[in-house]
Amino acid sequence: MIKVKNKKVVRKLAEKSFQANKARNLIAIIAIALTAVLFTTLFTMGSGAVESIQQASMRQAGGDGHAVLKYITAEEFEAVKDHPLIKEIAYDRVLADEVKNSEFLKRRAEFWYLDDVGLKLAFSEPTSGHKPAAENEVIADTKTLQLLGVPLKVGAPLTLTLDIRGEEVKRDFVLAGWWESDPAFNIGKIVASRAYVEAHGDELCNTYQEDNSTTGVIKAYIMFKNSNDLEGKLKRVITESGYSLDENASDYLEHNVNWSYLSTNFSLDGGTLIAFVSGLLLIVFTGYLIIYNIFQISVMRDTRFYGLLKTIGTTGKQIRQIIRRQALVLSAIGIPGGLIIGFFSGKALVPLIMNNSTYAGSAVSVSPDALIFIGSALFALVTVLISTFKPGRIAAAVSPVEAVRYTDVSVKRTEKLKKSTRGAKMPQMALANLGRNKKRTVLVLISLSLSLVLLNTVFTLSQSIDMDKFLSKIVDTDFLLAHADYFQNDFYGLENQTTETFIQAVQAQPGFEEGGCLYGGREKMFAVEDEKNTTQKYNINVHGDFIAAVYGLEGLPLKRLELIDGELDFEKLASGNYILEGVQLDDNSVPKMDKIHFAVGEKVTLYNYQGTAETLAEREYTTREFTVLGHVAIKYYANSDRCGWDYNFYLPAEVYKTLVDQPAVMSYAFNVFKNQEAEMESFLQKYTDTVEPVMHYSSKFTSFNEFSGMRNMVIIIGGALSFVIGLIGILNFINAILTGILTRQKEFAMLQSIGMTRQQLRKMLMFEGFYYVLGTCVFSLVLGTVFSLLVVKSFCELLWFLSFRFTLQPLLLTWPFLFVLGGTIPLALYAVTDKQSIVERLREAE
Amino acid sequence: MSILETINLKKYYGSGDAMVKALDGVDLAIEEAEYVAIVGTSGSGKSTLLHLLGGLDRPTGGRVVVDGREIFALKEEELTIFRRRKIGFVFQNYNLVPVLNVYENIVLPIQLDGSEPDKPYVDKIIGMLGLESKLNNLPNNLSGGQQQRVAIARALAAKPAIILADEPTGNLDSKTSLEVIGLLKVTSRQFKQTIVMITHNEEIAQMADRIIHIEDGKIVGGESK
Repeated sequence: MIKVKNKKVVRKLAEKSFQANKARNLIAIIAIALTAVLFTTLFTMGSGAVESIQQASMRQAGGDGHAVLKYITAEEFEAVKDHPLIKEIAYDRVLADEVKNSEFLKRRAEFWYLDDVGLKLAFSEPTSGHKPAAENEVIADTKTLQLLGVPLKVGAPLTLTLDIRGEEVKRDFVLAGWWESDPAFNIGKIVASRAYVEAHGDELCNTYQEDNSTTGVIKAYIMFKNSNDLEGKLKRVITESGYSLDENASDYLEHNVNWSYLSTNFSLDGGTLIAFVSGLLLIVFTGYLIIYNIFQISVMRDTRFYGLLKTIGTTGKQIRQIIRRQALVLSAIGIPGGLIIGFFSGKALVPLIMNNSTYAGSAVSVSPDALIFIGSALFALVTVLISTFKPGRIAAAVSPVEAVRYTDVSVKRTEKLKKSTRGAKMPQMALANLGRNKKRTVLVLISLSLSLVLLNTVFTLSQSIDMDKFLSKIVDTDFLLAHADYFQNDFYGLENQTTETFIQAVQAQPGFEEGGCLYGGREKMFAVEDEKNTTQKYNINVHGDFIAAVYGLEGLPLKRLELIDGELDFEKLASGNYILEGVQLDDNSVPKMDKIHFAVGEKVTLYNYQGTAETLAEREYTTREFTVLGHVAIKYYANSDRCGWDYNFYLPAEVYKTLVDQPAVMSYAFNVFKNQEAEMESFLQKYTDTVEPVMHYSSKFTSFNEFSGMRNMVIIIGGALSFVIGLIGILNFINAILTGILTRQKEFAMLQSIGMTRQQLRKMLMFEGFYYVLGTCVFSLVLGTVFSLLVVKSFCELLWFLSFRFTLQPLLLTWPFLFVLGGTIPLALYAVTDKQSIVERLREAE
Repeated sequence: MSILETINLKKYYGSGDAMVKALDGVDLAIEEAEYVAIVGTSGSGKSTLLHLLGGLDRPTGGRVVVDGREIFALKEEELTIFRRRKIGFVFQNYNLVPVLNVYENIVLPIQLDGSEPDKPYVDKIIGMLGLESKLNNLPNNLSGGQQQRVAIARALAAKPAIILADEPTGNLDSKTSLEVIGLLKVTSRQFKQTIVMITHNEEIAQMADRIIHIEDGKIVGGESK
């Protein structure tokens, strides 16, 4: 093919015809910008959620390094630190085996030296005060200081009781600074200065290899340049620095990569991925509907122009270039604006998602990642190019001869006859006018309907969120008291049991109706003999018996046990000869009967260690035989230790106490009188904040709120999406009406010259608007119903807390609004365009 | 009394040096049932005159009196209504409504006026113009001559006092032109309608009762036959 320098003239043509299409350009730019807004919002939300989850996991893991070398010596640190793969390495030194202050019984605190990188990676840079410098200066997190009773004041004195290789040492320090405790991180941290390390060089000598003492060991957190193949990089760092990966070698370095960076920990699960991809497709489709429409209309209007170009020798390829060029210029204007708006709207929506996920309470962070912008811009651009491809081909295919005769308003030749004598009533004319370009009309209808269907789906989903189903699963009684660890699924026994003082304080409150303790714990687990079970290979003790969770219930929780089969006879139970076996429930609260081990009436032999001797072996392995009286439901959040054991039994507290030397109160469940919930709630909040901070509670009402939060999230995010897509739909409608008016200027002039009044013309236009709306109503009703019944319904069946509830109410509620729009937009546009006199319009270029 | 009269009718476009005097003091009187042809070179102002006669445009000065009514004294909407009752238009490019079939196009002005078509009368026009078999056709499926006949039927259907025709044969071949004009003449005579027609076609102009020459916005001569 001969290369010709025609770029310039093509560009010029593109520019000229670009300038001639001001109204189209404006609408197209807005449409492209809105499409970019949608993409950026989606990408920002996606990346923000991943980023926040990642950081939260890192905090839980207690450090932000990609990897860590543990228990190393100063020499080892020196040998490793300059490895080229390492971007940053933190020098974190343990200064004591333990901090023995009694205040830290419930929440451990550690005593460290961290260098600047270490402070940064551990999120421990002081937010008030300064980094420790003098030998006696320390910084700590606020919760630790609160437990110590140290005021948040630079210079405040504090004494630490340190365990240095088994030796207790008391040292006095002053506070130099502090940072806010991370709620996700349940260990306190006190950080001393470099001067302290130097002053105590002798006692900080690393003897971990010999006596497993951690005093003086160094933990080196490492950041690589990126998080790819962390395992491989870490191994290279170790071996290339001259150390071994062999656990038994003397030069072995203990190491591991940060699990929060392992892709499995935050990989998008199938559902999220599907949601994300369908979001992308929806946006591409929405964008396509309007951008295609705009360009298709514009090409139709310019058909004569393209025909003329072809007559004088422009090739189809060049015409396509002209159109693509215009699309690119419009994108260059529209996309950047959309990216910025989209980023901020996405950023605003992330906290909403996070607050309703398991990561609630973690700080939310969204950084403006170049990838977000590049990705969104790319998707927006691709959408524009897809949308302008066909119009470009249509323009390129224009035949010069036909072009001269072509007008946008032509009626296809295939329609030969129209049998009607009803004639020229405004409503009929309007209807006939919409039929002129059926494809365009349909596209506008789809575009308008899309947001309505989405809106309806969002509301159907939010309506389908089944509060009762959710609450009955999460909470059983009005309130549940327990140690904070219990709610972290980490209840152990006496050490973190629910305090008697807390229970008494609650019982003394007005409004308290009735309650009862639940006893349990895994300090001294029960075991059960079960010869039928040959498959289970874990949780077996030395005697060959299976570990079993046994709970002792009193009062309210005992009464609230839900019987599945057998009988629930409290007198029989109190005799000490009967026991209830717990059965797990599935997500839909159906008991998993295949998981039960004993039939009603069957004998069960429980074993447990009694006595207070140091080791289990020295204690007495006692036996007690029961008869299974019935099966009851295990309410995971209400009457279990939240660990999910294979064998579960329930006993009245009195019987339980006879089996256990020191029964531990796992939790305390209680109800309050009606209308006293709020007072109790505020009492509990205050009490757990100030009096016993390690105690915690859950309540029906906080769960209720959490749940409304989730519902609100669905509505807000879905609503926002529907709103933008709705805007695009309206824009499409405006574009269609505006084009309809502009291309028919001459026809309107003719109608007016034969006696159509402005009033009649307006009426006709208004009817056209109404027909669009009517079509949208019908279309969205059909599509909304079908979508609701086919897709949303089956989605609801997938998630246990959703019970499909059919609704079309949101759809119906938008109709009046649509009719107002359908009536006013054509009139407003007509008023704007109705500037020329009839004669001017009649004369307009043929 | 004249059915149509203009008094010192002026239409200027632009201002200052760029001012174009499209019409510069036209006095004209046309009698009822008269058939007048307006001829002139392009840009002479004949189309402007026709538009002013039909009340499509407003003059810079002067008056137009149709059937005793000073039309520019009427308000916009009143003028439109007056126009659809008294004046029928026939354009060079037919200007039919593409989404309406032939019959609907013909009765459109009547229906716009909110009245019912006078069925026998409309049928008679349709018959005279030979459109009986085409009533259900859409305009795009008709030849130029057929379309123009529909346009004429539409102009006649509302029984206007005056028919204003702007080069009605401009897009037709000469045989069809004569045929269409012949029909226009016959039907208007039958219903005692006045015709004012712009034309380039000398042969067609000769069929008129009177030819008015217009040059540079002024009438330069009128001849009555």
